[in-house]
Amino acid sequence: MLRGLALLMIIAACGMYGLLMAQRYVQRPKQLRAFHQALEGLTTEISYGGTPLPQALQSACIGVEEKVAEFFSLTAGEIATGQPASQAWLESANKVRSDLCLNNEDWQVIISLASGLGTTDKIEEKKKLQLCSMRLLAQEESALTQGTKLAKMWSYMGFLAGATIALIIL
Amino acid sequence: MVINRQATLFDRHSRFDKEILPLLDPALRDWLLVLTPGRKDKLEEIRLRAGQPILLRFAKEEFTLTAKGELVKELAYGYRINQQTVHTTLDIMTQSSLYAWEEEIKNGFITLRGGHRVGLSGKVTLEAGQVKTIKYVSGLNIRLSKEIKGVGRKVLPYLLKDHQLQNTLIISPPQAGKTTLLRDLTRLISSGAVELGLRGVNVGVVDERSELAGCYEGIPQNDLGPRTDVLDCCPKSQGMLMLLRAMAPQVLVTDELGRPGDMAAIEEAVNSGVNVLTSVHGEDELEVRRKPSLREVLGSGVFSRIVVLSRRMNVGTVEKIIDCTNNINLLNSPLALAGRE
Repeated sequence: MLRGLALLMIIAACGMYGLLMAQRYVQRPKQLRAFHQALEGLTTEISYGGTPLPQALQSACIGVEEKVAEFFSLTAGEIATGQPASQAWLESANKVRSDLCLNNEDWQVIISLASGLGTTDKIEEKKKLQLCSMRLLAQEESALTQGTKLAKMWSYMGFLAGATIALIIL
Repeated sequence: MVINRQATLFDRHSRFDKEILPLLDPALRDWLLVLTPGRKDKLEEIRLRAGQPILLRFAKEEFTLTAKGELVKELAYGYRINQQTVHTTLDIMTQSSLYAWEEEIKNGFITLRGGHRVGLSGKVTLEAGQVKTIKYVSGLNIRLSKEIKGVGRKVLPYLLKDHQLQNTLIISPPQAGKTTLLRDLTRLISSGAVELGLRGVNVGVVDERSELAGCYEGIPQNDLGPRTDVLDCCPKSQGMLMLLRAMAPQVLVTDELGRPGDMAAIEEAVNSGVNVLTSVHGEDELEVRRKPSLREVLGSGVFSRIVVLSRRMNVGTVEKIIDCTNNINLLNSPLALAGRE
């Protein structure tokens, strides 16, 4: 009886891990889309409104997925307290990194924006933000095509791996 | 001119701690934090130049800071700041949003909360022959705003006739208190001066260089009175017409005439029944008459009063107040003043 329970727990644990991994692949394109949306908002705030970064970042994250919004909100707060934007951007990225489902390549694109953020005129800022947005869109496309396959694989593989371990133990 | 300093010593140095210190590179803050309240009160300018020692200008003296944070006059002992310090300071001042100050930067300066002005130097980028921006900023000149209330009180009686302000031009060399006087006169006209029988009237201010009101995000940081509307960073000629149409001012105030079109706008305002109070750079009215670009200002016959300022005795020394109708210096005819009063 006890042994059966233990085997069930192994299968459940491995299955859960697989589902969690699958969820990360499902969430990644969504979060990339949220970043893209926020950057579009930021571009509008900067190029048309000339809004200072702290307020522009706060406005840009309205209606964006909570975890992504937190990144922009944290950055805005740091800049408002007197930290240079590039430093605030990098620090916020480090703080939220573990909460988001993005991979290293995605983070490289996001972090690339830190250098010189807010130090040029509206036209240059717009160019930088649009370039980053486009790169994020490309990341999102690859995340969508790869993600669907990998998400399915992980959702089955967790349980299968658990069942295999259970069989070996039996 | 006696300056009635209503701002207390405490207000001044606590303003410095609150409005200037947090905006400097953290490395500089500790040094300046140790300045005595007396020093903070007299501090007029902080100059940061990449590769040069930091300079602090007090009322009549100039000091630098050593690496230990001591104030010394010998610049050779001064701590040389690097370009990164200049950039970090500018980053903090603009909240890393240089683009938001694009229009101000075209004029070479930005205005901070509290009305303090920061002049920039560096590489100027042009577009179609016009200044687009300043890149690679290498120098900052932080000029501390010192709003001195009461300086206009002694001048104002000479500018009135039948309890109404006359069209007035202030002529002054740079750094002689022209803007301070203009600002205080604006406040008095807007608030009213019961002792002079002057009722407060609506005043429109076109503050092209953000010097009079010291607006930060559109809000005047200096007290210009309760009936004052400000157009910040707006070209004078356009701004005067905008205010005339939109805000129905009884008095229009603007600083530093000199561009083509300024006089036309002044004349339009006067023809609309609005009184004007304005200023121009110059040593005296004779010099202004000699300059081709300014001859028009005095030749127009628009102004009834001319106030000439200098630094002869102190900043804001009133040399003359001329009644243009008879060319008499009102300062030499106290009886005429008494008669009017």
